Amino acid sequence: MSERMDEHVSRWIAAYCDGELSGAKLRQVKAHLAGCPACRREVEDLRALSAMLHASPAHQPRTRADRFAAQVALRLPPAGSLADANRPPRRSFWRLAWQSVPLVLIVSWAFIQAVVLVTTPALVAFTSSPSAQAVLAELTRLAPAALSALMPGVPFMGELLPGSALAGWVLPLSEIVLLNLFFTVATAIMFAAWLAIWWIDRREESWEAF
Amino acid sequence: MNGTPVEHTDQELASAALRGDRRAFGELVVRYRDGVVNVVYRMCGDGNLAEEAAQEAFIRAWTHLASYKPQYAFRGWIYRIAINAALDALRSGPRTVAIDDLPLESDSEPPEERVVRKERADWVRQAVMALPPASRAVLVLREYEGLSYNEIAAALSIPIGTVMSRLNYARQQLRKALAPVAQAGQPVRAGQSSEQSGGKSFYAPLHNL
Repeated sequence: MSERMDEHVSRWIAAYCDGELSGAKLRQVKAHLAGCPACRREVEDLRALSAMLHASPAHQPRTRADRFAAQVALRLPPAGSLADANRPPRRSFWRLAWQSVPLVLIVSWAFIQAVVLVTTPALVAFTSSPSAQAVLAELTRLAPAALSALMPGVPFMGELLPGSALAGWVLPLSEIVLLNLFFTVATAIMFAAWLAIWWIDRREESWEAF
Repeated sequence: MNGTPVEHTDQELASAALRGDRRAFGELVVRYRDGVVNVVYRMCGDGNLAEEAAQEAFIRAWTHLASYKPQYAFRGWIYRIAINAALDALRSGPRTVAIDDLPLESDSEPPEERVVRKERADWVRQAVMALPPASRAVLVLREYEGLSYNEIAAALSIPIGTVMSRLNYARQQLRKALAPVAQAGQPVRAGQSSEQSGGKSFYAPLHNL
């Protein structure tokens, strides 16, 4: 978005002084500076700061360039070890696993969403019909006993949630929605955590690469 | 056929060095010695550490040549290594007393002026050293080595917006830190504009000299 002529161009002044502006933006800043004493002062201050920084002279090396190069050459490792050092590092299994975390999260989240999307309308249609209600009521009566016989010791949903709408035969819709919400939030948190670790890791890598 | 030696590009020399050609690498060392020493010096503020750390930077460059991408400037790549070598030197090396850091440019310069000049240089160096390393690196590459924003972004692997914000932060901090020097009327001039705009400038005393 371009500034109006009567607005200051403070955010572009450093780029202007550094010779980084061109085209329309450069013309705009120049035109503004021509009529704005405050922004001209900013430019002068930046140039004065730059001049002051150069008041600290550069270090004058005590050795000649060719002697310096010879000293470096003496310290260079042999070519054989250079080949090893320059070989790209092999990606370990754990590194690959770590890098695939976001993909796994996204795929599993998409899978759950697809399952919910497909099954929820069918579930609603099924449970809303009177005949299905009768079948469900009968199954609800029989199922806990049958399942308890098959899997003794495992609590059935009807026992855990005796007041739920489908009395334990299938999860109630509200629970599906809640579980889906919980899974989505958990996935988002895990993804954000991975992203934060990746970002910190990347920053450290970028500074410590050499 | 004339006797003019062929001037190889940095990319050609780096490519030859990657194949183990030490002479090609030596040419790169000669070519970038001053720049690397200066970057290291500006980053660590210690002349005695600078040359040692600069040598270390070139050795790291030699052992990591494969990571250099020829589509980018060799200068930015080697400067980034130099910055890291300087920070490592600061972390591990004992600080030395650099009595003769400031070169004596003129024997005819009166001792008082030399002392004032050295004091001012020390003040500037300390203000630069007080910056966080990330901002200092951007400032050094821009102010002292003249890299463009694009080159700095490529060298440090950061977006241009980050270059601008770090540079802006560094300059703001320096303006605060160097205000007493500027207001004491040290003989430093902007050099380009002496336009008096009427308002009160941060560096106003300088313009009146």
